[in-house]
Amino acid sequence: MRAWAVSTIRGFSALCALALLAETAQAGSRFETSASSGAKAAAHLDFTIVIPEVVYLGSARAADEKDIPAQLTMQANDRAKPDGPYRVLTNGGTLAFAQSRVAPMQPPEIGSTSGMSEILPIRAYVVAMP
Amino acid sequence: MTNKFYASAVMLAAAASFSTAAQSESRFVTGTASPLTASANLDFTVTIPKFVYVRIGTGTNAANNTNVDNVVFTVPAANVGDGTAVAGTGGDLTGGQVTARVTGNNGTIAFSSTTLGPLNNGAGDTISWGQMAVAVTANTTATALAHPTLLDGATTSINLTPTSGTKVTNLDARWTYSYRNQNIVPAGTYGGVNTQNGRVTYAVSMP
Repeated sequence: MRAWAVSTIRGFSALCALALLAETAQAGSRFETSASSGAKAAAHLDFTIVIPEVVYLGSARAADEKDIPAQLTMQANDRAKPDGPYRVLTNGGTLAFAQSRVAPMQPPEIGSTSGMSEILPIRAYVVAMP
Repeated sequence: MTNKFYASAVMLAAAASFSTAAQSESRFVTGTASPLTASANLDFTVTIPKFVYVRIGTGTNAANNTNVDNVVFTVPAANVGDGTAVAGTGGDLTGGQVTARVTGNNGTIAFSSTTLGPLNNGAGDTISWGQMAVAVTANTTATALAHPTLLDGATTSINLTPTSGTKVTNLDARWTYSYRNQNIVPAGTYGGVNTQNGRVTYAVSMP
């Protein structure tokens, strides 16, 4: 009988402890009264910042950075500086940057105003990101 | 025996008469005086408890509310790290804006903000709370409630001077958060609902 009473009291005490624990849960607003010295209360706010994965390959002189997929092929066709400078930007880890191919010299199209002196090599660059 | 009986009776009578001489709620006066007056008394007692209240975002006036708002900033890919501020979503006033309110009735209130550290994405990358801007505008009180500066893994505290007399404080404001976006940072989701250091604790303490 005594053992049963002790068990009941213990169980009731545990329930009281759980109730008190619930009262300390975090909140958006908290109202506290106190007859003794010092009254305290706290409220909380959560923050989430989402940063997308981006990769950019382009002329270093370009001002635009575009929303482009992780793999990009770009042709260098700058007559003044066919070899660059270029800018590569990414925030997704190690970037694979390679020259995809070098096209053979191409004559100008029939009817174009380009002369033989304006034949340019075509180089393609690829960037890939995990 | 008889003397003891009479003495006890006298004592009882004295006690009874003493009680009839106390202040009363009714008084009956007769006489020839002009004017003839009588008076009765009534006492009043008003008990005001000491209290302090803080609300950041969704809340209930003068009561506890367990809802914790989540302000979310999604940076456009074309703007990562270019310094273009990013507005938030969420907050009880939406658009990354929250109601902030502190009231108390026992003197100067210490009002603080605490973070556990810079926001992180769970992959070792962090964004400092210095990248979080807060614009404070007035709500219902003449003076807007100031925002304690957010620091990485630290507490900053400001004192709120009573707004009425020497003990009563009643301040609120609208706080609008924005992400400064001044650095190119690794991709990922930083902070969150009580995770990855995304939670800020605003606390008040009153004598």
